[in-house]
Amino acid sequence: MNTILLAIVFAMLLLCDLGIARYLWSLPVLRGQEAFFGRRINPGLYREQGREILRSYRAWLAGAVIVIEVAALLFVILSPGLDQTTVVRLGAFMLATAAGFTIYARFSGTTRVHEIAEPSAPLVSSLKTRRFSDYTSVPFEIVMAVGTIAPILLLAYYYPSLPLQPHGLDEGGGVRWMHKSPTQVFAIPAIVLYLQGMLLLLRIGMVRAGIALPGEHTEEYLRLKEAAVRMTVKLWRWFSAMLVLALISLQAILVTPDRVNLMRNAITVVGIAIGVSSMIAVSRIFNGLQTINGKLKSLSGQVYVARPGDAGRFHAGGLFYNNSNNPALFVESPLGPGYTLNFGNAWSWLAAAYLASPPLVLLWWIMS
Amino acid sequence: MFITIDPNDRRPIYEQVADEIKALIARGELGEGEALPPVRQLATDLGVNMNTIAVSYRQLQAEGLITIKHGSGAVVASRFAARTDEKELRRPLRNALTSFVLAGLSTGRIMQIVKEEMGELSQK
Repeated sequence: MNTILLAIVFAMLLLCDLGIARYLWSLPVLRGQEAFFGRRINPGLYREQGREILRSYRAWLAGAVIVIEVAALLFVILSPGLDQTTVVRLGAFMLATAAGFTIYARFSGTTRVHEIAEPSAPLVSSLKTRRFSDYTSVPFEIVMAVGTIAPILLLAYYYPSLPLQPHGLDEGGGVRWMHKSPTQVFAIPAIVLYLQGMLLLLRIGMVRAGIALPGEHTEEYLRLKEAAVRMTVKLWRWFSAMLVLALISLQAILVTPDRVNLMRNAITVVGIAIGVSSMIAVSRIFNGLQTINGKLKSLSGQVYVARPGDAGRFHAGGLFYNNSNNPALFVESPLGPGYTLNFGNAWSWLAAAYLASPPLVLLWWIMS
Repeated sequence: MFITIDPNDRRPIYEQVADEIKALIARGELGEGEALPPVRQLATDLGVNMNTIAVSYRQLQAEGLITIKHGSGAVVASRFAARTDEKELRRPLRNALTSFVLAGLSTGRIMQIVKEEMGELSQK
């Protein structure tokens, strides 16, 4: 079981490496000259000198990632061992991520001299304070919280009397048993609790993030943006509900090991149902968001409207936002779809630590 | 329900914000008891300094249109400003009408414009 788990972790970290490299590869040009490395530059400059800057950036990025991955591979070949391999893989992931973002920040700094001022545009506010309760239902959130915490409390309460746990089948088809341990019993519930916290943070952050509005077609633009927020919050709610369902299903195995085959079959069916329905939900939401983005572009020529003065003063290369006068935890990212943390809000540091904790916890778990 | 500020307008931004909110109150779009966004939020939305919005809110409070309570924010207090001398109220109207006359507009056209503006204010 541990071997399979470590292999999964290994593959996931490698995919994360490649995913982050891919993201950083296209990040500077996701919104063209409107946000070249997070800065608005002249279209002519974007087509000429901008290409040179981009080529140089991508060469550095590719070089750094290749060097780190090759070094990690050599280390693994010279010192084989599953635990060491996973630690090296995790280290390579963290190093590649840090190197990638450092290179991005360096090149973003060099484009500062090319930045041009945004055209003077009307400043618009909808005078609306968005509340979390307007985008979700309080009973739903309560059910999610109870559905996540109650199984953990029940497990803790009944832990002494929990039966030994099934650990697969032996060659004769009989059940193999292992001693229960806190890690074995509480690991998955802890992961689910973390994920629920993350999904709740994302829901609240998105709702409370301000929406900068254009001077024309304002009402229609706001309506479409609100629809996009509702759609995305719906997706996070879906994942929350699926997590609760998965957690309850897995708890059933822990408390009924004598019916392990029946429970395994039932949970397989539940797992497949969750997986398939989630894929359908995700693709529907993404299609919906693409449609909204298309309408926003045809309405106002842009999906993202820069808040006046934000790019120069508060956005660092488009990646980091620091404005202590902005009460929002998240702000729209000028680089592409999505949001970025407002580090001017003290709570965002806590949020960042929470979101970045899994690799560190994983490293600690592997080392222990 | 939006407020729009023109950076190219000669009026200071705090005055534009106050005028926009007054227009919303006059049109009935902002009713009595309705909350205004916090100073920080509105300042961030418009990309202006917090003090600018604070001055606007204080001006509206002085005119009796909103009340500000620390901790609970600003709320529309009344649809009507505190009683002001009619002579005081005529002054900005006289200035506006003077501008129209100097622009060469006829009396009939000016009256039509005034009627249209009143129509917008009384829509809701």
